[in-house]
Amino acid sequence: MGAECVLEFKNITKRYGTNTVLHDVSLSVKPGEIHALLGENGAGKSTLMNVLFGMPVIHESGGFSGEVFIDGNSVVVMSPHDAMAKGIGMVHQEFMLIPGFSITENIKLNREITHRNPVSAVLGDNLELMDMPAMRRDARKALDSVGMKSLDELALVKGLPVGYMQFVEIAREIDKTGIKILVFDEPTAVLTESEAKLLMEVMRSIAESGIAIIFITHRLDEVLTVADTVTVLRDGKLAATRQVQETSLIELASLMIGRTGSESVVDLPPREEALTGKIALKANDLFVEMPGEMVKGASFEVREGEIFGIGGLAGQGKVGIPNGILGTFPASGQVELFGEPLPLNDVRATLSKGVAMLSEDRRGVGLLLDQSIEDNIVFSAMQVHRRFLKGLLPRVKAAPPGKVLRSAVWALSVVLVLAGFFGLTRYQLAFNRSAAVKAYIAFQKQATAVVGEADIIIEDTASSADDVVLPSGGAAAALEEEEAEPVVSVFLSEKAADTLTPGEKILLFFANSAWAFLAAGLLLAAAMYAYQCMIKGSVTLKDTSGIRALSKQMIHDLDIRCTGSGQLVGTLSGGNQQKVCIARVLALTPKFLFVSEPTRGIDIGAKRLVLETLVRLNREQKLTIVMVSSELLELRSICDRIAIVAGGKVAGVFEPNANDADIGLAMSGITPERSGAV
Amino acid sequence: MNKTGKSFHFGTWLRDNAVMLTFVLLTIAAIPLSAMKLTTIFFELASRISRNAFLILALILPIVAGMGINFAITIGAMGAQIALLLTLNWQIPGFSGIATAAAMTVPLAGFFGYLVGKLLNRMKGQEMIGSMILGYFANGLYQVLFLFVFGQLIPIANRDLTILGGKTGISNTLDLNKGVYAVKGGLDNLWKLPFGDALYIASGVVLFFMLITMIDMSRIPFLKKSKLAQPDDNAILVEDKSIAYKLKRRLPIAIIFIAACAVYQIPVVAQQFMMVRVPMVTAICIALLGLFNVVIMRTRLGQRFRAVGQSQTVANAAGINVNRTRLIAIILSTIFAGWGQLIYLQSLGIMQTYAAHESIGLYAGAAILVGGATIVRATNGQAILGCVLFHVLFVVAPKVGVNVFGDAAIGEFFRVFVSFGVIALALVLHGLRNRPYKPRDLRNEAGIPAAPKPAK
Repeated sequence: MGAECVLEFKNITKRYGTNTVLHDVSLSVKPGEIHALLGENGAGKSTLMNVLFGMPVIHESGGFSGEVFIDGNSVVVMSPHDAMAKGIGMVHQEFMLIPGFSITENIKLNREITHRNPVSAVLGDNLELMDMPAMRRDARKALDSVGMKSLDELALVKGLPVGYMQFVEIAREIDKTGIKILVFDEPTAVLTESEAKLLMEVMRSIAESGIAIIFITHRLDEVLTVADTVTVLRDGKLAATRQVQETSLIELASLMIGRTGSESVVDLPPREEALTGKIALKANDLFVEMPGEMVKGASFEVREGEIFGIGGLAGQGKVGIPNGILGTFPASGQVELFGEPLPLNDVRATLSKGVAMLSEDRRGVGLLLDQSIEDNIVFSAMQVHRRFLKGLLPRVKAAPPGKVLRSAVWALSVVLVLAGFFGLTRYQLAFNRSAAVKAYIAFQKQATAVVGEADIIIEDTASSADDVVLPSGGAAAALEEEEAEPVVSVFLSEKAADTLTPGEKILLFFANSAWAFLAAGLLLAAAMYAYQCMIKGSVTLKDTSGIRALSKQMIHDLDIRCTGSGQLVGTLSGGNQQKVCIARVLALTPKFLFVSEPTRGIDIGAKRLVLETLVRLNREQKLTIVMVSSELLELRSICDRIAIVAGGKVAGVFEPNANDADIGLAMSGITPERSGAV
Repeated sequence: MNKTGKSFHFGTWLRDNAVMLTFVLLTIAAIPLSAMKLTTIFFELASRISRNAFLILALILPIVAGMGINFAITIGAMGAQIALLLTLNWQIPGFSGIATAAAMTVPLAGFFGYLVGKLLNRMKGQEMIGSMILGYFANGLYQVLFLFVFGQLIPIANRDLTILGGKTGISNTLDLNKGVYAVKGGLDNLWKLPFGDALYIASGVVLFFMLITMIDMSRIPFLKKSKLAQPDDNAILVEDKSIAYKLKRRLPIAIIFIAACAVYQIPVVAQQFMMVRVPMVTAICIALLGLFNVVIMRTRLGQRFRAVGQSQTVANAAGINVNRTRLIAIILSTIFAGWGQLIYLQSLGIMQTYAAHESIGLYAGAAILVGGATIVRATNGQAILGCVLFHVLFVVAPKVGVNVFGDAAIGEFFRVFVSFGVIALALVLHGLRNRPYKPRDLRNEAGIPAAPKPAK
């Protein structure tokens, strides 16, 4: 096409191993054009942008085939920095802003305007001082050009409304000199309606200045409002490129979703009896704070015995729904299970009501990878229902007076222990200060002095020890033992007890029996603990034979390929790990099952097996299943109804054979008014 | 630099300064209990602050660069002690001895800092524990060096330094005030002034520089700055240059110094400081490091430190070499720590060869936290305040131990307990402040007025 296009992709193909994620994609962007890039998750939008920015992930996985032209010259972008140098800018979906910096500092980050100074002349330009006023002027200009005339360029990013951050990001890209192509990655996802409108205007004015814009989005209406050209990607292939004037909402929606034919992943066995239509789960106005998957007021009903699908694009909140109901992320709203209100934010309570979930995050929360298959299978059941446990101590029934008596005995043991400590420590301090002790110590010093003199006498005269003059009575006896025993206890045991005051006598009692008190207290506590364990049955062992039997059963039923039930789960393949997850959920004997992204990251054969297992559970055990999946095809092949979540809300509930265009519209947040919605 | 319309919340302020406030209360309670004279406390304090402030200021750069408290300043101190030992061996006395040691510290501590930085870059998020353990590890190597290598492999001619004057091993205690090579007071004794004079000089210098910076440089032809800084005709930034704006920002500091000078005129106050003699050269070194910490933040490098400290992802996306920036921060910090240790040793006049460096990381870290710093944010002011508070407690704790518990050792235990306790408390507060899930009001964000009560 030559140099009239600022950017051109020609026959881009990218493989990760055997998996082709981009297949022969070509598109071209003219200067000043707004080119929308549309597609589901996994359609290849991000991969295409990774190619454009030379992300390491592309080069590390063997590069790509095809060519990229910038201004008519074939280029290979080696790194994001290289892309920056070639005039390609990106407005990120997650803000690349530093919260503690002012807007100016963020806009000029690593492109600071600096003066030279004597130190920097010697030690390099990193020590040049920043020229804040010049940076502020540039920042001001950039902010003005994105329509943020009232925003103070010295305000901290931290306090800004989320929408403003988007504009700061854009201002930063605009401020870069020589920018030719600007990529907006779902820029309106976090904006309010009026901000989104402003953004559209800003994009227009940027485009008018001659910069080409690639606008990645899933909001079809925005594409129609602002874009000149739209390219739809589907399954890594170019679905279509259209001029915006020549297309319509409906066409774009069906281009985005459209599947060739209606091949089904699994064969659906018919139901033996029709659904009763009773409501199994009713969620009303559900909010879930799951980062990246916020649910903002979803309402839906699931009928008993059906397989209910939840679909939608990534980040729209579909994964948040099961996590919120189960309680793994903070949730609010009303949820009823089989007519009873379900407590939120309490995983244990929810699990014990017969709700189970197959998590999307197998490695994170789903499996203990360095444990055996059988341990993984029974882990939840053991924790939640206390199954597969054998009591170690005989179980006893609590005696009738029960709690009060037990509390009293506990209290007694505590008192005994405290008394023991008191005897060991406290009395000594008291005695050190008592008059009797002071007198005794004074006396003893005197005695020592005498003995000292006597020793000299002994040496001099070589007479027997009997000649030494000693103080009389018990004190002498005390003196002989002086070195072996602490002062106070010698005094208490040897010195006549009748000279003590009543208070001192009590202290003496504690002092002499301190160890007995301690021992009695600790023994009593130990006995009480054992007794309570026997009441509760909390000292248990794993019921190994029971566990093994169940594991064997599961391994057979679900066809888990392994060397035996003792194999470590981490050594299994992805599909088999997923089957262990299912087995574990089944060990809970659930009444209601959430399945979140059950086929993520497993091969096609395993996928089929997992889906077939789910259908069999549904048909044979009458288990109500809610399946969340990014793959619409999967949902269509096994679900009775499919809810599409967009923007944290349920945008529509469809029959599995509903119109592509309707589902596509729902995914971009437009609730279809035509037929197809249930 | 950042003007924000933040309103002042007392509760938030209280929470953010919990560590510092606890310590202030502790100190206020401890001084009367110790029954020490203020003159003595101030005297002790002056020498302790001049000894330790440099070490504490050395911690600031890594904190700003997001690496937490650099406990590996211990390793910088080891470098300084190697340099000092060689200086003693060559018998260079006084200031020239200290200067030689300081010069040799740069390559030694710089190299150690490089190694530490390389390692810490491989254990991001665990820098604090990493640097602490590294300090213990390095201590083993240090012992091999001083017990075996010096004397056996590297000849030590000055037999005053070796164990029993033999050939192997450096003695446990080196007297820095002995013989012709005495380096004790190499900096301190160069120029000492009574407290009052020092205060007047400091105030004079501060006020002088404030006046200088208030003059509009761009009006003076031969001082014009670079071309980029030239104000253009439609400059929006008028207030930045106005005298009133500059005055407003500088006034508080000026008032503090003037007030301090004024209060010092009261004879009773002045009397309390009569024993204090300020080692001016050391004080200037400390002030220069403080100035460096401020000025570096206004350079491109400083901006990188701050950016990396706040978000490595964003800094990387902006094209900043994160690892290199962190490396520079650690190297600088380690060299400063080495110099700090030299200041400490020349002031003390004695070097416990195998112990002098051991707990400086702990004490300096505790001190900066006491001053109100966190493991992600620290300023010069916090470092100095922490130094003062921490060392007041150090001075009075043994006396409090004697007066209250009848045993000086309890006071000693208490201050070790306090050092560890402060670090633990700061870590807990940091953990509480950065919980992964902050409660958010989603309904509010979605524009729904209030949360409906769940149905019964």
